[in-house]
Amino acid sequence: MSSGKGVRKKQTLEAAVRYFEKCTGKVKVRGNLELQLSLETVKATSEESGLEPDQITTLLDAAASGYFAQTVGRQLIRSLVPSSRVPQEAVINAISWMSSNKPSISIQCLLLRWILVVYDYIDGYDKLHSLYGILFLFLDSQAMLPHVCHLMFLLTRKEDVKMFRVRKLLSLIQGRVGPQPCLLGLLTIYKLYYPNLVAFALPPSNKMFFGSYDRKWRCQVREMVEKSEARQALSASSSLGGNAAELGLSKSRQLAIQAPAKKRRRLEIPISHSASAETQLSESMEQVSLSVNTKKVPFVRVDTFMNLIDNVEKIEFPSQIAACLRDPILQHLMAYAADRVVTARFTFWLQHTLTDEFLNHSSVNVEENERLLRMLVDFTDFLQEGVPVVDSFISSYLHTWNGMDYGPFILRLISKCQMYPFSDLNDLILEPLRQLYFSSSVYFKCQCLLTLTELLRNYAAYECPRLKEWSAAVTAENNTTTILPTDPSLHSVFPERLNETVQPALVLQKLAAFVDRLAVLGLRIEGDNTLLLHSVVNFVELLSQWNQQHGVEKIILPSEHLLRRILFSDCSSAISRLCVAFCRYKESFVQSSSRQRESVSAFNDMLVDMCDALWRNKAFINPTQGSLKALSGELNPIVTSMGIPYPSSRFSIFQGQAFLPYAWSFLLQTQPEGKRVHPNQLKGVKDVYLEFLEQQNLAGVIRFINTFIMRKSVSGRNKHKSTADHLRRQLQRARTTAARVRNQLQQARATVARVRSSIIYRRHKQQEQDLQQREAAVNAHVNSQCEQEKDVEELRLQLNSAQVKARVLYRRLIHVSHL
Amino acid sequence: MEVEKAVVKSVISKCRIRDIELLLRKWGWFSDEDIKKLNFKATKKEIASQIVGLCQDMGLKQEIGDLDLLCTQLHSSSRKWTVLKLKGCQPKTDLDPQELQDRLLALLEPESIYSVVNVKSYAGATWIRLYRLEAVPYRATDVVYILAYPHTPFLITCRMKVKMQEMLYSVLLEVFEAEEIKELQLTGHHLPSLADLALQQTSQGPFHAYRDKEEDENPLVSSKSHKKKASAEAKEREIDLRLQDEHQAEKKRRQDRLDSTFGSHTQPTLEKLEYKLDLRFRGTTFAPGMKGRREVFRCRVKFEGPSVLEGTKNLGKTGLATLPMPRHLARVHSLAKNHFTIAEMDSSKKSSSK
Amino acid sequence: MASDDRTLTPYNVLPNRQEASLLVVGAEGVGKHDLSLAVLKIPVQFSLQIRTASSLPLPTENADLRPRIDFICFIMSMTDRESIQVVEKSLSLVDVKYFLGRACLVVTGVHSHKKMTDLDQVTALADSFNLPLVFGEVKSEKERDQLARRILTMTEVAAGFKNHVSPLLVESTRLVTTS
Repeated sequence: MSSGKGVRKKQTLEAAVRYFEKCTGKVKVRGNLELQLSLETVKATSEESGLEPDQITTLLDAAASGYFAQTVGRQLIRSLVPSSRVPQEAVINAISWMSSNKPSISIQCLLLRWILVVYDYIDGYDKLHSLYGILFLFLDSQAMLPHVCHLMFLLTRKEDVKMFRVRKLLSLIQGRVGPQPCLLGLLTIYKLYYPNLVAFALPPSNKMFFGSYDRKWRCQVREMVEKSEARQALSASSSLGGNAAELGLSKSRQLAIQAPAKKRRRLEIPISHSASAETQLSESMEQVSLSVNTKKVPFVRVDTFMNLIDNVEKIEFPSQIAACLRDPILQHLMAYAADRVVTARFTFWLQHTLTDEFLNHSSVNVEENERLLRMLVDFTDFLQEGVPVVDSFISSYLHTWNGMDYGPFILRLISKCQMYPFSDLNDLILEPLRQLYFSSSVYFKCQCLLTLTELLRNYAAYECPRLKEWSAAVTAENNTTTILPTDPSLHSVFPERLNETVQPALVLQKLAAFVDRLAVLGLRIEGDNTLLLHSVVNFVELLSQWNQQHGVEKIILPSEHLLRRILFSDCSSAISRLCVAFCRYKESFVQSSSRQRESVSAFNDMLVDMCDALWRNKAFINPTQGSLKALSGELNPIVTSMGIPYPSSRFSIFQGQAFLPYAWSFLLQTQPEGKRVHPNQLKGVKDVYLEFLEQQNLAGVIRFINTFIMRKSVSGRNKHKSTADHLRRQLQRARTTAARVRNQLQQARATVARVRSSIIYRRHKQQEQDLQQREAAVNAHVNSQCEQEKDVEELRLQLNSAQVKARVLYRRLIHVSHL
Repeated sequence: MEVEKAVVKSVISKCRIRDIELLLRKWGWFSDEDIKKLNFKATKKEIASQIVGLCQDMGLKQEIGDLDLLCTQLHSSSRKWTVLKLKGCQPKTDLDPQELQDRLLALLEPESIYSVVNVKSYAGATWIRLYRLEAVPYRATDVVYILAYPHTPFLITCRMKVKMQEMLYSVLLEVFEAEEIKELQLTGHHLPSLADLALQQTSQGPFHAYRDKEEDENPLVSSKSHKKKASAEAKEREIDLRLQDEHQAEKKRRQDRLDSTFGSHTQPTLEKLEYKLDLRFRGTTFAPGMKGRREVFRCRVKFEGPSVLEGTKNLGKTGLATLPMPRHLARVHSLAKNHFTIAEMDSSKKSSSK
Repeated sequence: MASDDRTLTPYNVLPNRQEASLLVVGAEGVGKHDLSLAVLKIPVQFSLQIRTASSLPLPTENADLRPRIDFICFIMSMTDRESIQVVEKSLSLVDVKYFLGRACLVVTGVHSHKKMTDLDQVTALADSFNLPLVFGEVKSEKERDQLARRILTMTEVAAGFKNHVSPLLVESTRLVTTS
């Protein structure tokens, strides 16, 4: 049924195309049923399955010929949706019809738009490119200007840039047309190829050069091509397999076939193809190229990494630079070559795409946009530096961000941002982020802090060294006045961003202070949420590490406020991590060559605070030391007036709210049942308690105490140490016995259970057998069971005694440690 | 038969394929078996030729006009309609369809103006279709449709050629025993609304409350709108007490005021309101340069949209139009016209609108 | 700053520790009502009152019944040229104290095709009144809830329900860099 329908459709379509083909002269529209029906058939087919290449050529001729009324022509052009490829011939014909001036201006415009829409699907560009000069003439038409510019922007190669063309563009810009973005766009690409020809200062702008027309149309074409490609891929994989390579298809074709339909979406990260591979215009290339080594190897011929290494100096970049977002080999090449033209082309493409997709038409292609962002994140990861154009996009996107769309990717990209002077960074990124931070949920706050921490890490690990090297290179150059100028591209893929005015250390310091403030207030607003607390501790950990890990000279401490928020919180693991961070700080200070007197004294104050609070039970009452010393006179009355007994010991590891549960469970395990327990009882068994805490994954606290606290009665304790050790060993032994006994008990129990189950099983089995026999058997089993149970009883007694012994030993151990 | 073929073709091309079967059943000349024989999966062209074949077999000719009339009734909004008013001591519009057909034929055939007349009653109106059989080739624009509302002096016609108009008007005068035909300046695509506007001229203002009650009995006005409104109000009542509108009182006043002029029901559908202004320029606050000019500043103001009256009402509701609205905006119902000419007079006040 | 009785001030009525109230100001048809309902849908520990107004000044009719307004949320749509004018006009009738973290400007339709207002104009307006900008759509449910949550958080801070953090304290984290 359906196939019959399909055949009929095909016939009617053929008839329709034939109808258009044979029309050679003005055709009446009114009452012309055949025309209407043919038109409808063509439209329906193009919507459903797209048109074949030869049909496109025929219909295009009909539409552009001017034999039909404009409405018909327009509808015909609109329905020229290719099923797979567009023959170059059709495009050439379109341009030649335009040159004949037969079709009206609006049809000519539409033809241009059609070419732009199907540009990625044309099966060749060589002949089209040879019409470059003709296309240039269309610039005079006001209506066609934007489309012509866009088309030429796509077609321009180095040899196309000629002085007379530049002059023409400049006269247009300065003349009646004015500096329209499309003209500037074309001129920009000219300037890229020959900066010496274009002396015109191009205004930097964040706007797109070419407005995006015909989104729907584009979508339609893309979907159609995708559909047929998926179909092809299916049939190719089922029948031919790897034959494609033998048939000598170009690499791009292969890619097109192999790429799963998903990968080729409208957001078109294009596959690479090279101009010179297609045009073979190597002679003319040699004439114009300024470089010495003209034997370029088109990138499409490079398919392995080794191949890349061999040809690395003479590879011609693909004409669609954005391909490097999806091609890992190209990424290597880009990172290696750092060619100004290449990066600029890449920048243009990115700017255009990002502005178009995210700022002008948000939430249309969410999935594809996410894919693009993910690629960008991977790409920046690979390069280990931010892409300037992405940064500027992020800053303008952040300005209108709702805090939700593409959240993870936006935040990742923020953390990859390049280093800017702090005032710029603050205005463009930090301020919008801050507004979102304070008005969003605690989860967003965590993400935000983690992002900023990552940004700091990125700065410390990559950006600072890069800038340092660069400025060192510059000063070296100034000193020695060598002939070879320093090439910024040795230091960065995007050299124009290397900015000498940035002071990395200052930026780091200010950024850290900013994060610190956000963290303190965020913790306060969210009532010291545990998750947020850990995000904050992450930040503190980074600060403590980066001197040793990333070689940041300046040691930056967290603020006192932040310290106290963590220290006085009820989260023991956060406090433990803080302790570790402080141990790292100490190492940094010890190893640091430069004297950082101020930081050291601030650090010492903080340290005193921590020791007072955690160990010495002297929180708030130390009048001479610690960060609170200035306030202590004021603070003490308040603290005491709160009516809490022993306020100074309320934050210690024995009585603090974060540690109280541990203290309680420790006492419960060690004290005899029924005895009333109080944290004060821990006083004498500090060491054992610390050991207990270590078992509870709070090793940080122990490390802190071992590092910073000089234990008072070391000698006194030594006396008892041996006894304690002995007892401890005994305890250990008793424990192992208990464990062994427990194991035996377990085994015995298992045997009993097995016997029981076998009894039941046999009961079932022997139902038909003699009663007596059965009774006897059962009796025997029951006897054996009794014996087994007796064994178990015995073992249990043994275990009990062992446990009692263990407890007695433990108590003695505690007693000894008291002494 | 050529004409019939063309008529069927045009009817089929107007309908959606899935509606054709229903249309044929409504028409009633084909039996179930006949309809079953038709292949509705073919193209429209093929369906049309199948139907024509069937008609030929059954000898249907005149009846095909009924099919066209039926199609026009179902797709009345695709045509543009004009409202006419018969004047005279007692226009007789309540004729039996058959009688009307006979009278029309008697008057039209001898003159060989129109030779095919179909008359049907549908939705409270008498529908008339006129066509001249000899006119070959068939053109859909040559067909004239007329609606007469029994017991009222109103007729609604579709567009027709000016040449024919005069002749047809005189015939209509004779058939309906009236003295004069006056064109109300009321045109539009939505027939029920046009009828509503023409028939209910006096219902604006204080009458609307009375009319709301009567609405259900009026066959021309569907009562759905009323129910919809009631449910919307019920929904409104559910709102949270914690949420209060500061301008509630003002909005209520505004709504009351609008309801008293427009009525609380859904407004009749008009696609267009057109004003020709022969006035001096009034918008001097926006264009102070025009202050001294005394001469008439001619312009034309059009309000266009899916339902202009509803839109006007909403303008008032959202506070974008100042209340009370000028007479020519607020009293469209009672004036029963949508083409106005506003000339410089003492009291007609029209400030510059857009 | 002497305020005439048409200006809205935050301290004319004594606060109630159990109550917070939010005023939503915006032109007709920008989604005040939907947004307010979304805010009310979020469960909170205190009693939240929301008033909506299509413009300021507020009518004097029931002025004495009106609670103290803790937070004002202006709302405008980029697709409606009127709506920014309403906000502009209303802003002049608000006490300056509101602009220290007790007001925000919700902007809908930033990424719409039918933008009628320039983003720069909105930014300039927000900057001149120190209004934080909140972007989002009222029409999509997910974004509306997100918007509602953000507005509620700011209202809570303004009413002092977030551990006594005041709006001014939040403002203090802002760095004004002179470039």
